[in-house]
Amino acid sequence: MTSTAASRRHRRRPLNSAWGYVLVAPAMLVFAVFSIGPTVFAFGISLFDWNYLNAAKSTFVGLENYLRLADLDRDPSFLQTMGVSLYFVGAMVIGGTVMSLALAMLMRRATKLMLAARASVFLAHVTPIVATSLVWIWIYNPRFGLANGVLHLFGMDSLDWLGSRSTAMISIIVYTLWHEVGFTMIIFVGGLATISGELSEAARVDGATGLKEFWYITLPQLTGYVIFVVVIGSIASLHAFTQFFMLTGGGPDHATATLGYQLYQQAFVFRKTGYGAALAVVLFTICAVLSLSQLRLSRRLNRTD
Amino acid sequence: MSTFPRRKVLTAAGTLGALAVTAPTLASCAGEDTPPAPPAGDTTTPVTITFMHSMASGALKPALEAIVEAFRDEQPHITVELIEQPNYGQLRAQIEAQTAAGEPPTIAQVYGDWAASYADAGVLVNLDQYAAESDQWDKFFTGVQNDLKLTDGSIWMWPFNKSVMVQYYNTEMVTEAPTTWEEFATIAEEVSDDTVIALSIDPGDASGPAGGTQLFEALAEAFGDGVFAEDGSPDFTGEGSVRALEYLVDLKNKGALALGKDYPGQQALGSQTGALDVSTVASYQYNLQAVDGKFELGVATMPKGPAKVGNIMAGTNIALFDNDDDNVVAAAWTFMQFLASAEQQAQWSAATGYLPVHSDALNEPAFTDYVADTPWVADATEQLNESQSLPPVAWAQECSGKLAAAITEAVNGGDVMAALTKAQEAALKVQQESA
Repeated sequence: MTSTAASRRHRRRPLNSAWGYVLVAPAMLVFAVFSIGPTVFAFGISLFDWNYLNAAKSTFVGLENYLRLADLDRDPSFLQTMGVSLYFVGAMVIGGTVMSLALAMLMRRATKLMLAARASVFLAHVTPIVATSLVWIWIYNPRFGLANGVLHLFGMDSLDWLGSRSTAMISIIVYTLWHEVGFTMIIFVGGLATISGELSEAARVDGATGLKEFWYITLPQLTGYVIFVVVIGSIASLHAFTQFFMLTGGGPDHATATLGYQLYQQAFVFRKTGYGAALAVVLFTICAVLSLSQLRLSRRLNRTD
Repeated sequence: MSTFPRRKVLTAAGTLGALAVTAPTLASCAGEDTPPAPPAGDTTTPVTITFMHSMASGALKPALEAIVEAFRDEQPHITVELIEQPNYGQLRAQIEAQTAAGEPPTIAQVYGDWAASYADAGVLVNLDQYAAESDQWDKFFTGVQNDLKLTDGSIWMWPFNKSVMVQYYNTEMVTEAPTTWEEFATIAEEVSDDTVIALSIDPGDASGPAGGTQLFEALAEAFGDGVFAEDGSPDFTGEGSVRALEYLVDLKNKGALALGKDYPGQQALGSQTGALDVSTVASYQYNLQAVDGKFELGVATMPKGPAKVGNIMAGTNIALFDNDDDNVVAAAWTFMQFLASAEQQAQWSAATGYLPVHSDALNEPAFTDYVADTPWVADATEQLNESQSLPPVAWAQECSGKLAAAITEAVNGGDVMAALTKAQEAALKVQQESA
């Protein structure tokens, strides 16, 4: 029997048993009611000028909500929102991956001190975003905040960290990196524990510097972990909402209005449910493409391995 | 066989999608052309009504419970079930979730722009006939009466907790409250130094206006014209708006104004790094807490501008949701009138700091005692006659958010006219889409 045929049979096997369906039915029912149903419903709503209080007053508008996405005169336009999202996602993926990898390399040894350091970095990740955002609002307070206190130590003027277009997004990125980097660092620490020490040892014997050893020996062995961190980082950043809600409310002047935040704004604050649903469909599509890409990359890497 | 589950999933998805698409056309549609008269109701049958509110903090909660208790003594057959929400945002979400599910509260606190959406969706009771048959209507302050109508000219709400803006000040820094905005600027500049910035405001942001935008709207009234036309259209580039924003920018340039978040004026006043705070009368108890006896807190009515005393009315009204049961509607209407009665408004005002909506409340002992201790309340109450509130249109909040963004931009160094023009264009777009 060929491996392809065996693989097919393996995939078919659960379908041959009625009990299989019975056993997965409760989970599928929950999934259908709370995930699939609402998702399909959102697709439907995106085709309407939806009256959220009285569905009978909703009118079918076809693709009008999607056409509005192309309207550059909107404030903010969809393009602007996507730009803000990509800025945040790019900074989080690149900055987050590099920082967490660097921290993981620094803390890879399981000494007591390193374990304590790992725990302290990870601790930020398990704190609630709402609570820590409130603390960071005070840190960024233009009059009494710690951030400006540090600037004053170096003789610099105060900044309105969250109120200025030029610093608001950077301030949120700094907060989010502080909150998220502990999680991805732990993934890399786990990855570093699984890679072969022999290759590194051989490289050192051959005279490789620390940097070359990391670049040519360690990093290639962590490729799978890097891809995983990049993909989950991208999806999490696209979905990021709470820190924007708490710290800036999408302002100033939409400088921190990401796609996820605008979705909330349009659907639940300004009650433009149809347009909000269209934004949700776009966000869903982007996340689906990213997830499928990750699956394909992972499969390809597994085959290569 | 391998395609079986996928087919099933697709079929289910298709069914749900079809349901989503056809649901509105399957649902029934109802409408009424003539405003209904209040039903008589049966005063012998026990009835329960629900009142969804967000009077959940400080003195508000016990004060509302006391009103309900007094109502129970007067109307023993009616039970008022209070459904508390922690804040106005949550209140709106909860009202709308229940309404969308077909089970709205009997009555609820609402702002004008919420009521506009609800009336448009056909879920509110028009109160024109109710008001015509009520002896309370003529007793409400003029500004309050206007605040109960939507742009169609009909009455859709009944008053409850209203407030206007006043100025709070540190009496050790500001010996006498300014009476004009010109004086205000002079005093603000004089008291500001390296550690004190006279006034801190939070304009809010594009997602929604905050107190700083409300102050701007009052300033625009004081300097010429309001930020919204009578029909609710945004008018952000009028003389009043331009002069108001120039005034704030000037204060900032003189080191007398700072922007912040989450009631920065109150924070600065309490920490003695601010000298003045402009907020509503409902902030009185919170400002007293912030000051905590460190100095005597002064309170005065809003300063006068070149055009007039501009003031913005805040607070909510009560809306009556559609209900098939006449007894429930009659009971709710009885309670709404009880809430707005002179006696209850006087006690509510004395307990919470909100202003009475009923003019006869000024002669009630509870209110006269309260005014004896806080004389500024009498002047603030008079301003209910002239105060403006956000226009009761669905796009008001989003448009005000554009204004908030313009204020932040200009105060942080942007061009005043450019910021207002941009906000005006964005607001007109919002209005067009909403209309």
